[in-house]
Amino acid sequence: MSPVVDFFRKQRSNGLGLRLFFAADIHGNDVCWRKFLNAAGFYQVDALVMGGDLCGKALVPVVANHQGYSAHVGGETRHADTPEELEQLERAIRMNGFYPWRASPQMVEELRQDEQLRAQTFERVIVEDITRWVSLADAKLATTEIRAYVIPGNDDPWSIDQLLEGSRAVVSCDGRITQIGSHELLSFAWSNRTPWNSYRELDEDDLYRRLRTLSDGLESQRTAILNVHVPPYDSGLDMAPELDQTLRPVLGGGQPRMIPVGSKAVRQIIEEVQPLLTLHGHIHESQGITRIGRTVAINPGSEHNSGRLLGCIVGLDDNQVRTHQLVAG
Amino acid sequence: MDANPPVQPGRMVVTEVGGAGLFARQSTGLVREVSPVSTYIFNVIAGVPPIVLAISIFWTLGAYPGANLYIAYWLAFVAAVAIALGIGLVSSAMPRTGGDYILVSRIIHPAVGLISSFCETAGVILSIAFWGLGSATVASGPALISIGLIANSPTLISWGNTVESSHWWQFAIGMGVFLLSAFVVSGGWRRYLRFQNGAFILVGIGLLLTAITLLIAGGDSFISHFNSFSRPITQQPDTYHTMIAAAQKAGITTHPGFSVDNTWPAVGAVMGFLVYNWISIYIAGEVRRANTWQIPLTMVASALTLTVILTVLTWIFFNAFGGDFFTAANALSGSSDYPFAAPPYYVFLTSIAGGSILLALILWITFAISFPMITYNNFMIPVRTLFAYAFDGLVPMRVSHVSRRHAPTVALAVVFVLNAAVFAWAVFGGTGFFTVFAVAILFSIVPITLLGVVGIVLPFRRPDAWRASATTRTVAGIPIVSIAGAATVIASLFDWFFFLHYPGLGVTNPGAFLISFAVLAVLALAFYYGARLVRARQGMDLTRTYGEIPPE
Repeated sequence: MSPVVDFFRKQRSNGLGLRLFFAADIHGNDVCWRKFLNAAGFYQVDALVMGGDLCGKALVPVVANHQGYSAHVGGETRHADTPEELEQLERAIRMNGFYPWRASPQMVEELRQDEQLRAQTFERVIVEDITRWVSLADAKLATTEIRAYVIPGNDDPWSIDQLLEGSRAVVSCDGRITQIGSHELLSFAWSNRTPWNSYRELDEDDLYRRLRTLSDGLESQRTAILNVHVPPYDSGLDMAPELDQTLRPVLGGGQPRMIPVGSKAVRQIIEEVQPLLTLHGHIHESQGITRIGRTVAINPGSEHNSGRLLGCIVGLDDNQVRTHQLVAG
Repeated sequence: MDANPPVQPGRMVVTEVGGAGLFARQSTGLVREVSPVSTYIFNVIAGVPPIVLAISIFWTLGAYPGANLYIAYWLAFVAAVAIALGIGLVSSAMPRTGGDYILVSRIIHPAVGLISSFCETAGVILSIAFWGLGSATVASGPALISIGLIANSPTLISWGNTVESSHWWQFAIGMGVFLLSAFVVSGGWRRYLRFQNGAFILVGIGLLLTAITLLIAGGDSFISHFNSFSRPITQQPDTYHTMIAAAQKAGITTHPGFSVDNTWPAVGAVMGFLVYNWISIYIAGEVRRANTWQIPLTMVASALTLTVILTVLTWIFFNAFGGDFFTAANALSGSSDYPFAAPPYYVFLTSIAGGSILLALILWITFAISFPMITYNNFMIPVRTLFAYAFDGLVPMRVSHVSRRHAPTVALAVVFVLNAAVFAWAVFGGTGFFTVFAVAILFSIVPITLLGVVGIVLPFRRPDAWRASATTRTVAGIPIVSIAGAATVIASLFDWFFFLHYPGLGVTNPGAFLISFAVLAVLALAFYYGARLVRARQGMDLTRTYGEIPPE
C-alpha cells in the first residue's frame, strides 16, 4: 500500500491491543526520567519501556564560596545565593543532562589531581542518582498497573544493575524475556564495539550468539518485541560520524563523514526472527522508523541534553503494529 | 532466561573538559556535524551580499533621493541584532529542534506553528523561483553581454540577449540551478557544506577582487576607462558625464541632500535581506554546542559581516564610480538614455575599470555562483520543515526517509517538484509572479514575529528549558530572552511597516497581501486539523505530539 493511502487509512483495532511508550538514552537527565515516568498517564499507555543508557556523561561541580554556590552552565558562570536559587541552578545542570556535584574549591582541586578519585566520585554520584530514580519510580508507579521495563545501555556502569533489580515499579529485564501484555519482550543492553571501549560491548559474533540464544527462548517470535539497545546495521537508524583512533571525526571536505555504526548481529537476528517490533537507541541523532522485512524498527533518538524526552508511542494488536507516533515531550 | 554471563567490572575514565569546571567520563560520543564556522557561513549566505549589491540597494538612489545608505545599513543591522538575539536565545533553549515550526508549535500552539511554517515555506519557495529566474536574467545574460562588450564579441552579446529574453533559456538555466541544488542537498551534510563553504570562498574572492580593482582603478582612472570603453558604443567622447546630464534632465537628483524620510524605505530595502541571519535554526539539530551563546553570537557575527561588507563596498563604489554617476546609472538603467545592454551592476562597472577580459570572467563567475549558493541554502528550509511535519505525524513518515548519506530523498523530491512548478509559473506566467513574490517577502516576516513572541513567553511557558538555555540573566526582573523576543517583535513590525507603507519596496497592494495571508492561514489550519482528524481515526492523538510531559 502506498504511504499516502496508508496515511489516510482508518486503522481497525480488535480493542485488545497494547499501547507502550518507548524512550532511550536519557543519560542522567533528571527531567527526562521524571517525564518518562509521567509518560504513562500523559500518553495513556499500558507500559513504559526504556532502552538503556541511563547514566549521565558529565559532572558539574557546584562550588561553595562565602556567598553561596557557583557553577558553569551553558557557557556562563551562574551563582546561587539562596536555597531556592541553588535548587534552580542544580535543576538547570540536570536539564542539560549533567550531574550537579556540590563541592568546596579544595575538593574540586583534589578531583583535578586524582584520577582514581574522579572515577570513584563519578560512580558514587551515578549510584546516588539511580537510587533516587528507582525510588521515584516506585513512588509514582508502584500503586498502578503500569510497569517500567528498563535496561541499561552500553554506557552504563555495572553498579546500576543491582539498583534496578530492587524496585517494585521498575522491571529490570536485560538479557531476559518478560511478558508485556500478550507479547514477549526480549531485552538486551549490549552493543557492538565502539571506539570508547564502554562497559557492555561485544564482538559481533558474540553478540549474535547471545541474541540467538535469547531469541530461541521466545515462544512466539512473530509477535515478540525486541528491546535491543544498539540499532541494526545500515538501517537508517544507525548513522553516526566516523571516528579515527584518537576519537576525532574523520573529515572529508572539512566535514564529518557519516557511516552506519549499528550491529550486523542485531540486523541478522531481526532478519531471521522477524519479530513484530524492535526498539533501539544508542545513536542519538539517527531518529527514525523503518521496516526490516515485516518488522517495524524504531529509534526515537535522544535530546538528553535539552530535557526534551524523545520517544515513541506504539500501538500493537496481537499480530501487527497498529500505530507508531514519535513524540518529544 | 538470563543470557548475560558474569562480567568484569569496567573502568571508569573521567577527565576535566577544557578546564571549564566540567568533568566528563569516557562514554559513547555525540559529534555534531556542523561547525560554528559553517553555521556562520550558512547565515551570511542568507544575506547574499553580491546579489544585494547588484540589484537590491542602489535602485533606491533614484527612487528615494537623499536616502543615506550607510545609515540604512546600520539601522537594519540593529534590527538584525535584535532578531538574532531573540531567535538565537530561543533556539539555545531547545537546541535539537530546528526551525520556526517546532519552536512556535511547542511554545505557542501547533496551529500557529503551522501558520508560521506555511508562511515561511511559501516565502522560501517563491524566493527560490526568483533565484532561478535571476540565474538567467541577472547572472548569465548580463554576464555574457558584459564580457561580450569588454571582449568586443557580438556572439557573446547575442547569446546574452537571447538568455535574457528567451523563456525557455531562463527555464533551462533555472532548472539547472535547481538540479545542482538538489544534487548538493542529496549528498548529505558533507557534500552540502563542502559546496556551501567552497562557494562562499569564491564569492568572497570575487568581492575582494572587486574592492582591490576599484581601489586601484577608481576615480579619474575609472572615468577614463569608462569613456574609452563606451566610445565605440555611444560614439561620444565623454559618456560618463553625458549620462549624468541625461539623468538630471530626466528629473533625477544625482546629488541630493540627506533626506530622513527617504532613508526609511532604504532601511526597509536593506532589512529585506539582512534580517535572515537566523536561518541556521533550521539546522540547529546538527550544530555543535547549540545550547550556548554560540548560536545567537554566530547570528550577530553574520549580520555584522554583511553590514561591514555592504558599508565598505558601498563606500568604495561611490568613490570609485562617483556618486553622481552611480546614482545616474542606476536610475537610468532600463531607459533609452542608458546606452548599454548590460545593467550597471557593480560587476559590469568593475570589469570596465579593470579593463581585462580575464578579470571580467572571474568577477562574473564569482558573482553568478551566488545564485546556486543561495538556492541550495534556501532548499534546506522547506526540506527541514517537511521532515518536522513527518516526525509529528502530519504527513506520511515516508517523507522523512533518508538515504545512507543522510540525504532526505523524499522530502527533497517533493520540494524540487514544488519549486519547479512555481518556477515554471514565474518564467512563463508573466508579470503576476513578481507581484506575488513581493507579497511573499512579507510572508517570511511572519515567522520572525512569531519567534519573537516565543522568546517573550519562553521563560513562562517552558521554565525548565529557559533555565537550561544560554542565559537566565534578567534586567529589572525581566529575562533577557523575553527582552530580546520583544525587540524581535518590534524589529519585525518595522519591517512590516516599511513594506506595507512604501509601495516602491514591491508591495503595491497591501490588501492583496492580507488576503493572501488569510488564505495561507486557512490552508495551514485546514492542514493541521485535517491531519489531526485522520490520525485520530487511526488511534493517534496528535495533540500529544506537541505537549510537554509534566516532569513533576
